[in-house]
Amino acid sequence: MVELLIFLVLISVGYFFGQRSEAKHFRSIRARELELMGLITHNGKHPLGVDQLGTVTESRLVYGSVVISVDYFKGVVAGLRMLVGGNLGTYETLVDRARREAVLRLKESCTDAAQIINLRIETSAISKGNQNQVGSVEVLAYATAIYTQ
Amino acid sequence: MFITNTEEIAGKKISVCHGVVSGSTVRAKHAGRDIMAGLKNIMGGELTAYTELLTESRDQAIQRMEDQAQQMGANAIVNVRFSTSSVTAGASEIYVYGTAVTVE
Amino acid sequence: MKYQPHLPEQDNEQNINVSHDQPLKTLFTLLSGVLAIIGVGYGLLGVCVDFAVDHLPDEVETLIARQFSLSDPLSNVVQDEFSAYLQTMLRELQQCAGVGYPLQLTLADVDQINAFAIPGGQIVVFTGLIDQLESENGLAFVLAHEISHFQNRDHLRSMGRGVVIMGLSALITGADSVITKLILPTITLGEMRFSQSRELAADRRALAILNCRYGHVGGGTEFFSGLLSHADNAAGSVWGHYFDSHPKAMARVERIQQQGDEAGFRVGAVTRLMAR
Repeated sequence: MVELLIFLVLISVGYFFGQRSEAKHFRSIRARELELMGLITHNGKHPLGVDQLGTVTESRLVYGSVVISVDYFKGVVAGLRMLVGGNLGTYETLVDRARREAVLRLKESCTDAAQIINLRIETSAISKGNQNQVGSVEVLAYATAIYTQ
Repeated sequence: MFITNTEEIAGKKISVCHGVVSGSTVRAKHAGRDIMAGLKNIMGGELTAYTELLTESRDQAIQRMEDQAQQMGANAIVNVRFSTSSVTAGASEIYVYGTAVTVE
Repeated sequence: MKYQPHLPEQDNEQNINVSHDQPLKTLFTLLSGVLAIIGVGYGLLGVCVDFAVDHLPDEVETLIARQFSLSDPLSNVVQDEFSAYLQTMLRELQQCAGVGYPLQLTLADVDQINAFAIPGGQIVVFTGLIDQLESENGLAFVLAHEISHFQNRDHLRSMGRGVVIMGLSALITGADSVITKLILPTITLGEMRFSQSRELAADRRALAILNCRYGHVGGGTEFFSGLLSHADNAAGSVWGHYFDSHPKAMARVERIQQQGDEAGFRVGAVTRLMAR
């Protein structure tokens, strides 16, 4: 009985705070993406429009990384979903948030760059909770920022 | 939709660059398949359930990336890269990204 | 070359990289589905376990029982003249019940009102329970009740189901997984219901044992009548499950009396309990 009660409390706390912070995070991501929309970003090796680029003063390695944790509710839903099979929707939002946040942080670190090229994104689960549970997702985004006069 | 992992598309000229597009999935097989895979581990051989899972995830991720490129009005994706990680045991997580472009 | 950026969710487009299902709805559908499967599996297992338990030879039972001992040995075991007197009582009742294998009784100096049986033929009685009782017959009924549990192999039954379902869940999802933790309380709830019907059967048998030992069933309800006045202090105790899983005291007193009448047992004068 006690276990059931603890479970219910954890899952409702997880749902309430988890969903609230996720919605808030998505709002912030959308706003910042819109703000940084003009910054040219792609994952090719060469800068776009080499002829109009002007004199390149600096090219520098830039990074952005983030670690986002799963909440109890997401863990339970995903655990159940893994019994049945199919898309783990609650983890998909988690990794989506993490990746977009990492890229945003990368862009924020070089807002005055002319272009960001050769963008690469790596994901890893740094802390696995007990056995099968996801602890948190770590995303590292790295690229080369090109500065011109 | 042209999808390549090179900088250019041979024989085409890129006119517009739309920025980075990506597709990601986290998928799992039902528990029965997990148990069968566990048994297969004893005897060795291909884990068809997991090969299937990986194929499904990859196809879905590419589909999502394509859909995103389509929304942007692009007709090709260049420089495609895959990145896989094990977010959780028994589930496959695939991330694919590239640069959406319009070619003539 | 032009640069024409476009955001993933621009102009109210949906986010392509996530599944758009309602998390709460998903939770409820999956949870009810999984619980339904567990429920059906539990029922089927119950039938299998009951069958196996009924056909188990005595030697195997003793063998299984030997694997179990108190994981946390009782610290305040009392060994005096009174506990010897309880042992004698147990022997006499055991003879009436016709239980072949040896039973052991442990008297523990604990204030809580409780008695329970551990697989392996051990019966633990708390002094708190002794203090509640005035007649030997009342205590004899409690002991006879636990003996009946051994005789019906109720411990094997409940253990069998619990062990099998936990094993299955651990195999599928891992021992520490959320699902296994989720199943744990469901099983305990199921077992409580399960044991209530077994409790009534044990009561019926205990009356017969009592009648054999004393020639009447007087004092049989003393423990549960006493409980009615102490139900409050027991609810929060560690051994509270004894009261949860045992049918409500009031209804139980009535049931026992009814069972006694049906069997045609006489109610006679009670023997006083030896002073402790």
